Amino acid sequence: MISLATLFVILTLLFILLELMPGSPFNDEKLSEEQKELLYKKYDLDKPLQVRYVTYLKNVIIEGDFGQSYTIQKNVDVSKLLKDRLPISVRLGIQSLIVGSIIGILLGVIAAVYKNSKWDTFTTIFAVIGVSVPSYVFALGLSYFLGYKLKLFPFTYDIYSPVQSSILPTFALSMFVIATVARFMRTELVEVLSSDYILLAEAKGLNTKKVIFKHSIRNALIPVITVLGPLTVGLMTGSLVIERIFGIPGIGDLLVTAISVNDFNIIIGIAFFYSLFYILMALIIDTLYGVIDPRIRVAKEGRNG
Amino acid sequence: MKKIAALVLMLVMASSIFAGCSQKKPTGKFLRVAKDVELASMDQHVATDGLSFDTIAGTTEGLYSMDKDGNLIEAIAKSYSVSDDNLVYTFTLREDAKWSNGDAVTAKDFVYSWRRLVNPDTASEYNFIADVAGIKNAAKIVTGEIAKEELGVKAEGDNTLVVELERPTPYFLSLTAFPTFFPLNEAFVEEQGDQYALEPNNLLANGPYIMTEWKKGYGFKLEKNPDYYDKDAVNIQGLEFRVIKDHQTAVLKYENNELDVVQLTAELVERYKSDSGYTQIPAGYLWYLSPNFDVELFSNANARKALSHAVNKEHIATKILNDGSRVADFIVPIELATGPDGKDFRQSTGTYCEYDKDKALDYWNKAKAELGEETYEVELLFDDFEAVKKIAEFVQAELENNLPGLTVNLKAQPKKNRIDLMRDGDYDLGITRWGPDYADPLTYLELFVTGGINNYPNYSSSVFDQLVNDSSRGSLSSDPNGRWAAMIEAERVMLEEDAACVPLYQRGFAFLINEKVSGIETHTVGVPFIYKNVKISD
Repeated sequence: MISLATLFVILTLLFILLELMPGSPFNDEKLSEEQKELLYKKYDLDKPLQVRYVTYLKNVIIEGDFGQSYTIQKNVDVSKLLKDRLPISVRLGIQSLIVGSIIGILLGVIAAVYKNSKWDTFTTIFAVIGVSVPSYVFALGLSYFLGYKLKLFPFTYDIYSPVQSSILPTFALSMFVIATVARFMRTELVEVLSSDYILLAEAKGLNTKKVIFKHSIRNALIPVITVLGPLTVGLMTGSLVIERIFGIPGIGDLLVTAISVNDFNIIIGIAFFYSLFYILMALIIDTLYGVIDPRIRVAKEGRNG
Repeated sequence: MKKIAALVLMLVMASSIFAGCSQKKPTGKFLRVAKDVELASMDQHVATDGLSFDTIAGTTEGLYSMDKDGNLIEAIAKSYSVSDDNLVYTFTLREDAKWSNGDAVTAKDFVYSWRRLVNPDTASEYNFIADVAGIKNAAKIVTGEIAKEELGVKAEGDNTLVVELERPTPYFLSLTAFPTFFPLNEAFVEEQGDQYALEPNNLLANGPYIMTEWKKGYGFKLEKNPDYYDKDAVNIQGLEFRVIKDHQTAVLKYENNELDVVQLTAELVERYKSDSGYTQIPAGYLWYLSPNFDVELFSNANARKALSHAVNKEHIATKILNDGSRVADFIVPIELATGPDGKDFRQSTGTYCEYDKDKALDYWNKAKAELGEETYEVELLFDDFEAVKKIAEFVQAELENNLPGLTVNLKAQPKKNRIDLMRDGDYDLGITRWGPDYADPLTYLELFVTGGINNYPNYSSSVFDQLVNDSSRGSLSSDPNGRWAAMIEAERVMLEEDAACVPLYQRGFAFLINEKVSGIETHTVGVPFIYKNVKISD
């Protein structure tokens, strides 16, 4: 319920804010006032703000119609544009999130278990670099060395081979995820490993493998899951640049272009979906807490009951 | 530990196997072009940008077309005749031109298209061009005063098109090569309704290529049109356009031989200048400094003249931009228009406002004496793009160094906002540009007529207005030589006597084009790229 209200507020705010943008979506440089009037009439932009707002909301809610593109792909429905592009961006985001989390957790575990070894140092350095270097630097590096020099992977997106051509962008995007997850995992796992119940488990004679995988990682995962939310947002903003570099026809690239040419309907449409993802992600994370940590589940049930 | 390492190794190996077996598409002889913008529209009455016009002109032909030197050549029209008063053009169309659905291209297709252009319901951003062309009643139809059927164009039978003009328009023929005036198959367009031109199968072609694929945001494909009347002249199998917004990536693809045509930015020019594929292509865009006449300082002619000699444009063209842009000591660009004598407009005129520090200082001292102040402060308005910003900073330094006592503050604004401010006269000094709409000096000169919407300086000169009006709608419009002389004089008055604006440079573009490719024809006005005669050697 709250999620729906949030979405509604976001939509409203966007609609009003875009109204305040300077200029029109059309070619301001050449158009005379009379021509602009004709165009505004054609797209119903001459109606007062509240009328347009109500129509817009109605169209979005009832028909899923986000209006038409004014500039980028003239007169094409935004919903159609998104239908083609959204899956590409979402797939890339999910791929990076999964790859990033898995590698990140692995690195974090290694670092924590072999604390103060050279593996730990390596992971820490990697994490610092991954967090501080922007993803487009990785993107350029990867596409230049692995793509152009060594010719291991295609360095631009190819719709005819979506799998191998998305390997480089996925790695470029997941770098930040790997680094963040590894850092959190290490810190948390080190703490868990030194806690009393681990000592107990060891005292009971459980082997190291069992201690780490059954008793430690699960507990250490909670803060990691928490950062996944903000990380998703990071992936969205990261993809704005990555999509440009790899020539991926996704929504991040579309949004950047739309903002620079005032293609209002596209901006609102994409921002709406970004918000939707964020809210969905928050929802999923909340559910995951319960799955991972029985205490949270029990506490919730106790309260509700 | 070992297991993990092995796993990672396996993953890497597996993915490189994938990469190894990526199937190469059969390329044949396709010209592969990278573009940094998307194809905005294939509807000739909706499109406004160069790429759209290129692509429309690749698939459709109008009455005339342009050869590589910018001369008109017959396309759908076989010949034309014109009445003695230059007001009625009669075109005879060829009989063998066909649409890709099998229909013949007829005079009715032109009538339908031109009426659609001026129809207020179409709200075409280019509808003003019908009046620029001088077609009878165009202006009144656009404003909704009279019905679109009143437009001065009619079909006499299938192969004769008669066009009535309101006034002799010397550049009328050259406009028929512009996509806006291309024909449309009425039955097809009406049947498609609002879906027309949105997908390849909502489109018809009558030209060298036909659109076979359009992946929005990714690219599109044109293939040789088997029904084209001149298909023997088409040498390649087609064109593949790919949208790549990052120029660096595009260049790497070029080096990898995955692309044949890529555009370079200034930084890349430095690196690829000596590459064998390096090509410079002149463009029509002309950038200039616009002083606001309503600001006290710039109401003074000497102050404006000081301005017009104070900036080292050579530095902008060769050091900052470095992409084939040329110094502009004029407002009508090079290679825009050819006169009645067959020579480019620029060959018959002088140049004005050259960079000359001493001259600038002389004028500046005079201006200061007349205005009675020692120090002045102005704001320089420009677009917040990186390339423009560099130019603005350079102009600021030049003005402050060469005109002692002048302080220039920089004000960057989003382009749309900058245009609003300049139209409202709410600025001191601005950097702006103009791209030509048709091949005649008037497309620039008319900007500066008193009260013009794009007359940013708010320049007003009765002499200049008279000269421009005479050559567009007035007494000289059917006297090619007199008209040419008047326009030469108008430019001189405006720049030399009144220093109404300070032209900076004429834009150029730098490209890397595969050496095997020849026959890409470029134009500074109208359709920027014509691909019909492209050849790719083995």
